[in-house]
Amino acid sequence: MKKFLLSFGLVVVFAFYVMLSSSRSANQPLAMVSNVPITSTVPIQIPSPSPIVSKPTASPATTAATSNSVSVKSAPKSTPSISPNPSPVVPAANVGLYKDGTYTSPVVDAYYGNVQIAINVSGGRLTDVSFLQYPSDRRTSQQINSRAMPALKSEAIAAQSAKVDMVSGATATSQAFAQSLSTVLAQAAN
Amino acid sequence: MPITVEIIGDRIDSQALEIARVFEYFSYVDKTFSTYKDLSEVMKINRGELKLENASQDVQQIFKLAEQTKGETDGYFDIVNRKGIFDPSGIVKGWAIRNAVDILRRAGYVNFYVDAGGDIQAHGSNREGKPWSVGIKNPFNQQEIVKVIYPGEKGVATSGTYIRGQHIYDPKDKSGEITDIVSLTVIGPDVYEADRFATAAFAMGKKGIEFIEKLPGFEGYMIDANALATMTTGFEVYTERPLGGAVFPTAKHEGKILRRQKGAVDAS
Repeated sequence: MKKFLLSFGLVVVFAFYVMLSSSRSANQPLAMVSNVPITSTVPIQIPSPSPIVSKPTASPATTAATSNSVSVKSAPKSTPSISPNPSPVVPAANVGLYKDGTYTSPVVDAYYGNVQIAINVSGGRLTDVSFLQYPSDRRTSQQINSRAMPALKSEAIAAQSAKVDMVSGATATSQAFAQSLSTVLAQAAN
Repeated sequence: MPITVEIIGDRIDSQALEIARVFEYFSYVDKTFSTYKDLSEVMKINRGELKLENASQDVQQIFKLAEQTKGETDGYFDIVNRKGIFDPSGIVKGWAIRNAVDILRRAGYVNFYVDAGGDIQAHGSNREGKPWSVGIKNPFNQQEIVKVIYPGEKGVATSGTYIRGQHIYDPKDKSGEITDIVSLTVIGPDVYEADRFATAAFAMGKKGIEFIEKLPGFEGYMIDANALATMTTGFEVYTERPLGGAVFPTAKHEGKILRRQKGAVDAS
């Protein structure tokens, strides 16, 4: 199931990415996506920008002490916004900007198979994202990638179940998806 | 940005105090460098109210380090962002974590880590006496990790498009955004080094991993938009769990890149 969800997410991201690349005309995609109510089959989060070094919210006085270690975590995910969010330049009146209908992406060769997606706009809002085609076997992609960079080893990423002390990376679902989505929405725009 | 500081030990009171000092330090850094705070020195410089030569030593040092990094990365690292303002956040975070680690080290602590928004430097071993482990997050699913590494006392930093949107862009093409790679994790001699080169290499797109490959003392793990990962030749050493704790020696400041840095003022 996890694997499926992962592939699903990846395929979406890639497909939108390709659409993004093929239609670079829209210049305000981020602004649009941050203001359009999105209902789709893919859970996405659009994180608000936060400063790279933000003031920790946890007061040192509340330090939690356990028997053999002291650990303080600040700024829980739910309260990330100490910072004023610099809102992007927003085009005026962008609700119901989309023409109702179904929009289909071109079939895209994602190296390891074809990807084609469709979005549905209803009542001016994106209501669905679906896959018309997606690759079911991703193993061959490893060879392709190593051709691009012969010296370096490549692999398809796979979820690990190990317990770790720390995590390096970011805290939100792929922004690339949200960003790419804005491009396809631009196609649907009135 | 979540910051986590953990110290292993039984001196609970003094550990809590030390952690408080670290948080105080991060708060100072934020106040000084934030581009989100009108009164920060960086914003005063941006508005022309403060000349760099009159800025605090820390600010002058960061500008110097940023300039140096720009030179070392063929211009891919640039603190002048696309709006034309100085935004040193790409170098300040790693620098601040390294200084925080030094605070703890000088206080005599052996087993601890500092993690600021996924940029990490650890020391010693975890509470089970085992080497600290770090998971690399799946950029497409925040609940998952896709790799486990044991960096010892090296620094780990990840640059990506997925936390704050397209916060990194190709400085040579101010309108361009990086979309072909989504995550680049770099292991370097310390977290400052890992952070600045992760930022710069990410801006290079797919070539970034080759840049890391050529950089002595650095390893990288890049994930592209197709969910394919590419790693440098020495990366897998860090995926094998070392026996016992702290088998990696404390990062020594040596090597080509670091020697060039000797002229820099040491803030600590």
